[in-house]
Amino acid sequence: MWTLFLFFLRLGFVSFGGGYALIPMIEQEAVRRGWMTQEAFLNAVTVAGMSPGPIAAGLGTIVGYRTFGYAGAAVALTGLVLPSVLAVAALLLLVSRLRKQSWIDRLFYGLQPVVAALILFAVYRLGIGRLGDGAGGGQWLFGLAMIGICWAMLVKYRMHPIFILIFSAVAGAAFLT
Amino acid sequence: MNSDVKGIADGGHGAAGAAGAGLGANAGYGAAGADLGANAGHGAAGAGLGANAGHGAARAGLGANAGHGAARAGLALASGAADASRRPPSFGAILWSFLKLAPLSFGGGYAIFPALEKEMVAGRQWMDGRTLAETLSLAAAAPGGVGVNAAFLIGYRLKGVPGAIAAGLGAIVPTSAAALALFLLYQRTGDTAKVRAALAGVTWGIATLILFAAFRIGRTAVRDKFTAGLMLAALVCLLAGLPPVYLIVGGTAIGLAAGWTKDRRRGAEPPASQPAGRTVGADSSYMYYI
Repeated sequence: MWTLFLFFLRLGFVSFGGGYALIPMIEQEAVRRGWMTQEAFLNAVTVAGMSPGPIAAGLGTIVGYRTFGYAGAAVALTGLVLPSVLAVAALLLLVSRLRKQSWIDRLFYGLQPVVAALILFAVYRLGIGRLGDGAGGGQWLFGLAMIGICWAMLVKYRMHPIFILIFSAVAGAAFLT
Repeated sequence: MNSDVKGIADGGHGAAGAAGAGLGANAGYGAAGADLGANAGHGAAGAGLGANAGHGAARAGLGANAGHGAARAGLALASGAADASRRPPSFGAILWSFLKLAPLSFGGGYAIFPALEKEMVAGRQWMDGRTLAETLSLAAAAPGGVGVNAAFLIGYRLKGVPGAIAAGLGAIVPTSAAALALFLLYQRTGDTAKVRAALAGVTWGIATLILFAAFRIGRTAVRDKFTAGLMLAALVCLLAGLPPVYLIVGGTAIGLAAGWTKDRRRGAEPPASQPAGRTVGADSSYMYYI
């Protein structure tokens, strides 16, 4: 359990850039250490993605739960959140002294592209993961079509994400069985 | 009845109205704090938004403060009121605000930004746009999910540590509870073919959401050839199996280094710097679920 806490703590410290950037990191550790299989991890991501709120919180909870039950869930969450709290507190103290604009911008300059890459990578892993256990050709097509349709729904028609999720669930159940 | 009075003088008569109404009228003597709505009475203490007509009217966050008595300077700017002041919003109000916003962060923390703006600046009038923008940049720069950080930071700015706690609770607890509940449900329903198929479908939906998040951050991230190259390099490293941790540390270091070299060469601000306000402004313009 302590390892779990430390793991999430460490994650919490380097989890720049938002929840999605965390996914590859969590995957790397959880799957590598054998806490969960890759498929289980993917399902966890999906479920966490379906629930409201930051995906990292949901994912952490689920991974924690899978490893050590409810206590694990709580521990994981704390570990994940604690560094944020500390870092935020520290930043608040610093910010009042430095010319905050400049170093934050510089930080961003280098960090944002990395974060964008991480997020893209998360999508890639998600896709690969799904396709890995699928039937092959048909899955690819379905996946791409889904992404296309969902993208249109999201961007062009500005639908709320929850509809997109419902739609994709129904489409999945309809077409993939 | 939750009292947010905290040292505010009672108007003499016992509080006839509820203290600390989140929304609605708060009429009475010793009326303490309506977050939104009228606060008409004697010794009316603090309306977060709305009228504060009375004697000894203490702090109207925004809006009229017609009355006799001193008002006290507060946390953020308020336009209109003569003695601009802001009674810190109640714990419950902060909690509720963030609770409401949590479901919107489906696309990732960044997704709440426009909603946050609507809520904090326009709606509740708890802070002005620029303060919010700065806070959000800070939230993005700090480790941890942007959503969580933003909640803590904004909460802290609003009401110190209790505010941060309230915001954090509102943002995180329902999420984790929902995620856990969904997961248990999934385990209960078992691994039937239909469920698997539905999950597979949802994965693509989520992939799209994530893709959109990447797109959004990519727009602000990739500003020149260097950042474009950096992103591609990072992708390649990831595909090759490099642990993301190194990339994050590296990216930060590169960013700082690049900034410094540019500074030395030009003796000016790195060209990549964008005022914090712009980043958030650009963000909210192309992400509007509500």
